[in-house]
Amino acid sequence: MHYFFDVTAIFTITYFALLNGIYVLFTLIAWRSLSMNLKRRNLQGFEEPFDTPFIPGITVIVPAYNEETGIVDSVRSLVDLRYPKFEIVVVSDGSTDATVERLKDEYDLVPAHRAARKILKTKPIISSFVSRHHPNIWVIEKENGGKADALNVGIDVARYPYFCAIDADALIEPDALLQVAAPILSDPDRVVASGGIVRIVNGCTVDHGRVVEVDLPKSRIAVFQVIEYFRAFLVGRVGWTRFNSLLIISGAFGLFRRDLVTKLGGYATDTVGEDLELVVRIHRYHRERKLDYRVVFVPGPVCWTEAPEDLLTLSRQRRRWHRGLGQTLWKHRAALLRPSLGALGLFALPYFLFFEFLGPVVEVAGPPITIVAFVLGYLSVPFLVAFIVIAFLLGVTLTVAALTIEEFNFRRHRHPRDIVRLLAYSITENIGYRQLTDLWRTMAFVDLVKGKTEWGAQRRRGFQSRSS
Amino acid sequence: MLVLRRIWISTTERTEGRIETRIRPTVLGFLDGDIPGIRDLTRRDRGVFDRLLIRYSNQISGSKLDSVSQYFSSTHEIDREIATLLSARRAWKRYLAAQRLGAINATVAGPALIVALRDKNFEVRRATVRSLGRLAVADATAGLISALAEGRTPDSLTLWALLQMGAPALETARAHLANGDDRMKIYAIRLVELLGSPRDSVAISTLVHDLSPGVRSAAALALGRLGGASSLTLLLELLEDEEGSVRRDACKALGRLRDKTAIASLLLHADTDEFDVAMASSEALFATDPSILVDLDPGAISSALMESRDLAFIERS
Amino acid sequence: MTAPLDGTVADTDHNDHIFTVLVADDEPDVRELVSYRLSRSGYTVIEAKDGEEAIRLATEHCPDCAVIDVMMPKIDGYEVTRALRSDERTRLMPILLLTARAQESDIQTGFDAGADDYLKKPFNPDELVARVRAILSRR
Repeated sequence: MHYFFDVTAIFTITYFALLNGIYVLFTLIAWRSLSMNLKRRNLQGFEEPFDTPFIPGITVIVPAYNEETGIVDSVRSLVDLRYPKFEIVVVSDGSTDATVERLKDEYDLVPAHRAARKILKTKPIISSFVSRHHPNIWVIEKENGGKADALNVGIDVARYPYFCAIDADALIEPDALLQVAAPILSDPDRVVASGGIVRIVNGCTVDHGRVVEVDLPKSRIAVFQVIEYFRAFLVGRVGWTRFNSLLIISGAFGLFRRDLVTKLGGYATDTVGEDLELVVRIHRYHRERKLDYRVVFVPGPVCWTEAPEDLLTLSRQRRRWHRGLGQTLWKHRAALLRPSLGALGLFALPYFLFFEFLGPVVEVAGPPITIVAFVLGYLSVPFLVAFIVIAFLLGVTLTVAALTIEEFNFRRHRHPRDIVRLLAYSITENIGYRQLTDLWRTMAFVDLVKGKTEWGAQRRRGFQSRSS
Repeated sequence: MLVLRRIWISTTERTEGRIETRIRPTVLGFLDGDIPGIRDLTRRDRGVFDRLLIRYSNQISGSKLDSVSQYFSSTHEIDREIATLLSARRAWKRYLAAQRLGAINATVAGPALIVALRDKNFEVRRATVRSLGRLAVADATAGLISALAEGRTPDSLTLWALLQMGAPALETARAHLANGDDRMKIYAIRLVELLGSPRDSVAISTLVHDLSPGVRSAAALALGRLGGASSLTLLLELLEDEEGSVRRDACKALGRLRDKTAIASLLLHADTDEFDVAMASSEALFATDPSILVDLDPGAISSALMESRDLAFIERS
Repeated sequence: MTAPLDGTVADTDHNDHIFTVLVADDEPDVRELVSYRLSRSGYTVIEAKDGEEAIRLATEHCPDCAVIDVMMPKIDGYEVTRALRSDERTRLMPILLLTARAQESDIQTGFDAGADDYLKKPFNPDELVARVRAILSRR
């Protein structure tokens, strides 16, 4: 019996040390890399490099399902994008509400056939429309088939060599497309995908589809998510880019090379985390063939999304994300720990498996086991206390570090009191919120292990981030 | 610490804002030729003055910038920046210097910038290219071309900089049309395309039979823009090229020429299974003569043609 | 008629009318530069910081001419031009577009929308004044 707890103890310590070691490493990387980035951005001149006709065009694809409330604002923010050559293709995935009608009114849409390559297998297109005033705005109605399917339709009809997948409820800043395309423009042969940062719009003032004032959300839950996003995005993704193993280009805002994705068969319609799955596939494709490539995270360009403010929606969202993670990891299990795949196989995938996917289970199982050990007298109290204190302090420090990086570099928040609030919350985030998300993720894990049959039902329900 | 820093920053910003508002008329006056007005500036004011001046300089071009560079020359700022560019140890400082020299219109810094094209840091090289373009330093043409050839700088930016040079770049580009390297040939063709005149289509037409499809494509697009006597015939010939990408670009080029005699051939190619070619020729047809599309039978044409046809109808109404 | 010296003589027509120019650009630096230069040349300047404001001010105050930046948030310069052209009050107003992008297609779009002239950014302030003068004299 004693052995069990000893083993658990050693396991927990190792797990903890490794995980936080990685976090610390990434935080340091982020710090260095972003400092240079910041200074550079401050001197931004014109878009001269983009003043030539040789700039590649981008097709912005907006998969939408029952988005009548926000779709016009969203498309408006897209129309304002400052990029010399792009088109907007909204793909309504069998919406049953007024999504298409709203767009028809706002943009004076008229029916027009949209040429399709028909390379990707998708659910059929029902009808398509183009805007009379803005011939670069197209709206396509198709049979319901899920977000991945809608994206694939967009890819199939895309006119330009690159496509940018943007969520229908997201607001994109005008310079964002240019910024996220910058790495590709600098190095078009190697960079095949890039992604920007996603931030939470709750609490910010929005006018005509643009964020004019950045404020913290009033809702406590939303603030927790703000903090979480900083940590995940700034620190995590900058770090992963360094190892060319960036696995998450947010589904809300990602730029990809069209012919590559078409060659790979488009997004997978059998997983919930289709964005993650695609990126993993892109990495595998190139690494397996030893091709020189890069997938880049660009910290500058911002995509604003709405965060759930009630526990129920939040829990659903997290469970869905975790399910998607699990499905992707399972689908690509052959790549795990394969030396031939370099940092992807040896570092990124295992990390995501052990720390991101299984991690919550460990963290949830921790307290009960600890209590049992304590009750049975196998635990030394000083040790336990020390452990908890260190864990807590470390967690807070890392979060604060992430906040600092954001603050130093981007200074988006208007009021100093927002920072104070963020700081206060980052302390409490580690007690309670984090555990809660871990609990949900564990539930998702259990769900996955139990019933693979759920996948089928997922597809039909649509992919609305707010409702499902 | 964060909070303190934040407060400090916002107070500094506010004070500087106030100074700015006060100094702005002086800066604007300066740009307008009212040079003596700057005599009575304090040191702190000077800092703000310099910054504002750089900001404004970024927005304008023309003879006004001469006084800007003279000013910064007289304060020896330019010399300082050149020295930093060439010898500072930290890449960041060299980067800033490269940036600023372009902003303050320091044409005398041309030679130094050309040297910096070989800086070991990519970002510095990039800033250098941008500044060279902004200053339109004609002597830099050779350096930029070699940077292109060696892939030391991003090609879109370097091409842009060369375009700013104008005639000298065109000369060099013409010379490189006979370059051995395909990539360089393509860059040269693009430069001639944008800087050249219809006369240049003669030189480009020889490249229409080049072994590399990339070169043939670039030549096609160039002919479309340049025009010239034999361009039409050559492009029609390229419509039968063995490579799909070349056929596609020939269609694009014909769309620029808008010559109605190409319509028959374009119609043929708009019906193929090759999506890119079909799209390109449909779009070319739309550009040349939308009325043709209207008469087509929707049941019997390719997806691409259907789209252009619908667009033609919409255009009409 | 000889061109007046730059910045020294007010532009007037036979009736001693001081011309009003609307300047629309979301970049404050550009607005300042242009306003300053134009007022020094004797014009009265109204400023707008985005497309919406530009349309509103143009229809309210009916300036003699408008200098409009193409890339503005909410409503871009092309849209402003089209809107002004379709409004009775501003249909004939001379419009000069400022644009950082001067590709053929962009210039064409500008003219199609109804602009009278365009000037590339970074622009030469003297040239701007000259162009404004030119399109005003064509009236």
